[in-house]
Amino acid sequence: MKSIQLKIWPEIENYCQALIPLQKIPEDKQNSINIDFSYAKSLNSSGLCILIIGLLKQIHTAPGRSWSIIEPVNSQITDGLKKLGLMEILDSYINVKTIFWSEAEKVDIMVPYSYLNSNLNKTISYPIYRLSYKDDRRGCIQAFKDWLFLILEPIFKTYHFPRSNFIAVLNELAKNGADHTVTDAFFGIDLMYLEGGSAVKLCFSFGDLGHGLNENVKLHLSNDDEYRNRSKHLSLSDAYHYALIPGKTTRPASKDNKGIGMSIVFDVARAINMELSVFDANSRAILTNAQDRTHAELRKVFYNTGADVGFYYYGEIISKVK
Amino acid sequence: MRKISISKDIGVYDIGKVREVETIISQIEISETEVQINLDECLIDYPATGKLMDAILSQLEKTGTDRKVLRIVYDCDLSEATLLNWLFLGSTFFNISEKKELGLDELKPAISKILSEKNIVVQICIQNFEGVELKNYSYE
Repeated sequence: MKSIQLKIWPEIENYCQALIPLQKIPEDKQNSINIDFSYAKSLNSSGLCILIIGLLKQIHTAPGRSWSIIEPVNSQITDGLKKLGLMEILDSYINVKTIFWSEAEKVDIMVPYSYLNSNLNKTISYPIYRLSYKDDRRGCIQAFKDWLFLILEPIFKTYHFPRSNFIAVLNELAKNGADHTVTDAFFGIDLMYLEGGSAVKLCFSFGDLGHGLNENVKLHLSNDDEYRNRSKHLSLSDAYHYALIPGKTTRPASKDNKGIGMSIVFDVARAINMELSVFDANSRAILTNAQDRTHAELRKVFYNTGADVGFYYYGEIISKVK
Repeated sequence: MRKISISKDIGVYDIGKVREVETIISQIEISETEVQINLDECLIDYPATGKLMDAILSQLEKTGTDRKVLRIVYDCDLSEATLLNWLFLGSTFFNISEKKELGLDELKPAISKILSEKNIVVQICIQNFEGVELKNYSYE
């Protein structure tokens, strides 16, 4: 039986992978699958994080298949894929046939990968961080915060970088993920030094293997008397508007969840001049462009992507040297 | 006025961590009637930060019947509602421990009721990274 070639879009950078969905694997066949990285030409952690989530979702829909990886022609990309943890993560879900990685090459999440990016800026990318919610939700999020405090220390010391508030946004995204899925979440972060180091740009992506905010809100509202009839027809901006109403949560019975998560994400990201996008269903919203949380403002910041792109957050922030 | 910077004086950046907050509470003894708590560069989170605020307000209350002032300095220019919720969410001092995030119309009266009973003023000062004051809120 002929293998299916799952061709990876050449740019594995920033949010590019969120806009180009992976080819859908037919669920009713048993063909083996080749993940084809042949002509991958650029790579960073935030881009790879989104790709990994997409791949893992495909793996869930096509269990029991035989998976192989076709190496990139560019050896620097091969090196980056190893150091950022692609193989280690895939290997923990499926047995992937490859000759370019062995167990001995496991990554240390404290060790960054340094290189010149496609714009020739000195860049430091950290290995993809995996949050496994099912073991210890609270401990897993605390470990994630502790790791962020450590890796961001050098930037915090040298640049006007709002470390704690930056981490606060990610903390809320992680908590939201933990509230809505028992699967894993993934995080990628890149530090690009601009103008000879006089500024630094941080890019990150975050996503999990759950349904995404839109689906969660719709599911929740289908059980709500006030919204039941409207829930099927809610637009994406309606769903996000609901999530941003003070105290609204899809976990009303939870003592831990006070319904403030999305308010913090929205307000803090705006306050620290982060540009935060969410990719959900057929849209991208640049949440931080909304001047307030009204429905009218939120509608302005949603853009149609033309295809279902999954569910990811992508953010950028630039800080100047002290 | 007694001034305490959580990050600079105590060396803690994550006041969203319950263990860290318990350490801070064990180190702070307030006998003055005016206290400034600087939260610059600190990560706020529920429920730990609310517990810290409760402990400071409780200590301040015990200093006597005179007018007392808690000034909170913070470096993130949030909306007033988000700021108050984030600082005081789950507070037993303000009797909102069971409440979800509240709108300003509910939160401000709940806070003011307790503050006026206990003769405490809470001031929140938002400043930028250069220490320039951007906004000031006062509740009593």
